[in-house]
Amino acid sequence: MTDAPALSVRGLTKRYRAVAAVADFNIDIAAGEFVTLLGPSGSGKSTVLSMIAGFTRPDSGSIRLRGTDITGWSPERRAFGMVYQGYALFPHMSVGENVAFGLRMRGRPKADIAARVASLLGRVRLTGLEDRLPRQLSGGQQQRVALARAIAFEPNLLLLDEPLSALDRQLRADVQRELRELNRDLGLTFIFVTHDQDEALSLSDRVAVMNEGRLIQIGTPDALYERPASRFIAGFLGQSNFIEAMVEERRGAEIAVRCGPWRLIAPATSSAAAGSAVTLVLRPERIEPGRSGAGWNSVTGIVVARSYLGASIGLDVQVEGIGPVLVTVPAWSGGPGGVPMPGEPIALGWPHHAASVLTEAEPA
Amino acid sequence: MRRLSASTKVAGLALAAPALLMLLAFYLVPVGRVLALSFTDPRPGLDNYALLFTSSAIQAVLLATVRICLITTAIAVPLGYAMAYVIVTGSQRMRTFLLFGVLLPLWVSALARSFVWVTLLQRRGLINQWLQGAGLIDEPLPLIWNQFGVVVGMVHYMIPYAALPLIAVMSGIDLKLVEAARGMGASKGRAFRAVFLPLSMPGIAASALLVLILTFGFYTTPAILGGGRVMMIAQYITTQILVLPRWGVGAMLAVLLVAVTVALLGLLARFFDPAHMRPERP
Repeated sequence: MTDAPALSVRGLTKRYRAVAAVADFNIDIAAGEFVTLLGPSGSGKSTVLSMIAGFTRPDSGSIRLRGTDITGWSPERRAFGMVYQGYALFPHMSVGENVAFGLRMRGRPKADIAARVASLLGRVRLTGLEDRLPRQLSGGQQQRVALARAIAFEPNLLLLDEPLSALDRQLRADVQRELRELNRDLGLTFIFVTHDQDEALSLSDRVAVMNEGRLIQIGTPDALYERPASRFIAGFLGQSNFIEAMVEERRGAEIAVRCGPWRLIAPATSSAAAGSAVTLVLRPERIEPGRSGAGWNSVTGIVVARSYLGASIGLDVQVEGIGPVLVTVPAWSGGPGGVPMPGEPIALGWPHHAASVLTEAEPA
Repeated sequence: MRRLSASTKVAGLALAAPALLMLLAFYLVPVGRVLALSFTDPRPGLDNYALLFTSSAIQAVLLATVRICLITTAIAVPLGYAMAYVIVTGSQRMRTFLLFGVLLPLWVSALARSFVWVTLLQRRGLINQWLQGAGLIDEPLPLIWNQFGVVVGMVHYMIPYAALPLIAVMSGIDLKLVEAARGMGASKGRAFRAVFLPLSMPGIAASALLVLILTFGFYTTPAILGGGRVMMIAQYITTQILVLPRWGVGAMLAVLLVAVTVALLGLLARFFDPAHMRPERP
């Protein structure tokens, strides 16, 4: 462990005319960490990456690399490895020349470069293809060339700008595994930008969720998923039911809330006083049809629609006083008669601690 | 694409017929006549073409033409390249403004532009007056009625033509590639040389060919700025046909002009083929 973080970003701000593309962005990234910037398009995540890479000059704020201020450095002086959306392979150079580019720019001896290129191409399973042009390769192969090229000169940091968006599902899973392996084997720090929440959750040590130029929440994938700090996070990461309710009483670590005809129990938060309005955030997969008893909330509703999703079945349930509630149940339990059909009544239950509570004063 | 039915084809042909007939009557027939004249006037045979190897006057004209064309191309293409580069890499506003600046001169006649250069370059023109006024020279510089004047006028005329194909090709270059090169440690200059320049080569070739083709048949600018002392092929043809008149020689040179132009156009078409021009994008 080193004392200073591998990368430390403070108060980074970028405006285009009056619009703040990025506002007061802060993050500390440890060496070897895999951090994902996640957000919808236009959230400023690519601008943050571009400022870290040195292509966009911030209006204010600082970027430190292992304690050294690099805010004013040119991109070539920082020399972070970068993988682009669409790969940005040089179309007029062979695979080998593409991978060798960064090494050549550093004036490494020819023999060293050749050996390094050969070993890198072996690592990404492209041995024998070094004389091909990028356009003669498949999308997945181009992706691997881009990766090999980005790590060839052993950069301090690997920046990845939506590198998987052009790949189909199967290939994406392969490349994701490869990325994790590279991160682990090389001990290289990764900053990954994506708008794909599944990708962010499955790949990262930590995820930083951005919206409208601001960092909304940062944490491990499960912390973000289990304890979203805002409605935006809860809605953006996976699906959520939002249940508007009024706090009736507070009992130790729990609160009792009123929602239409239902009295529900949820975990207490510091600001949820009796009489205040709260929102319960409830994941569809935490709800179990037919469950009730001690430690469980239970409500009843009518199934409005059901959709078969392969591994699971999604149910739209209309619950009086709450509104539409989305429920997902494992498909295998849904044998004939197991899962109710539209129009049929259904009882829903969830453990008291399955929901998280947002108070209305929450930002964003 | 949907295949055209026979009746649609006939209808299409009928619609195109007036234009096709006009092209045939007023363009292909006269060109054919000129071709025929070059072999028949004043006597049937290859006499006119033999002049290419025997007449020192014609050889001098051809040499001057080729020399001026090459010099003009060598100057106009780099200038057009710089212009195109700024247009393609600049901001949207800069792009619109400069593109307008490139296109505007195309609407001003070659005649008007040549006379503007006369007022600038002549013995008592603006440039010589300034230089003398500033005490930099005693005698006026010979800026006009010579090859220098012709080249200045032609380069000026050709810059938009040099820039346009370059803009087309450069617009197809993904600027992220240059960014990627810099991210891997290449300085601005090296990233340009290693990535942007090679990818813009088809544009340079197209630009050079286009300028060569256009300068080869140039008439107005050399006629005015050359002051009769610099003779290029188009002007020489005019003299042969209108002044002397030696129709056969004029026709032979016209055929040569057309043949060279067609050959260069063939090369140009190669570079404007989308398959050759577009850098690959994943």
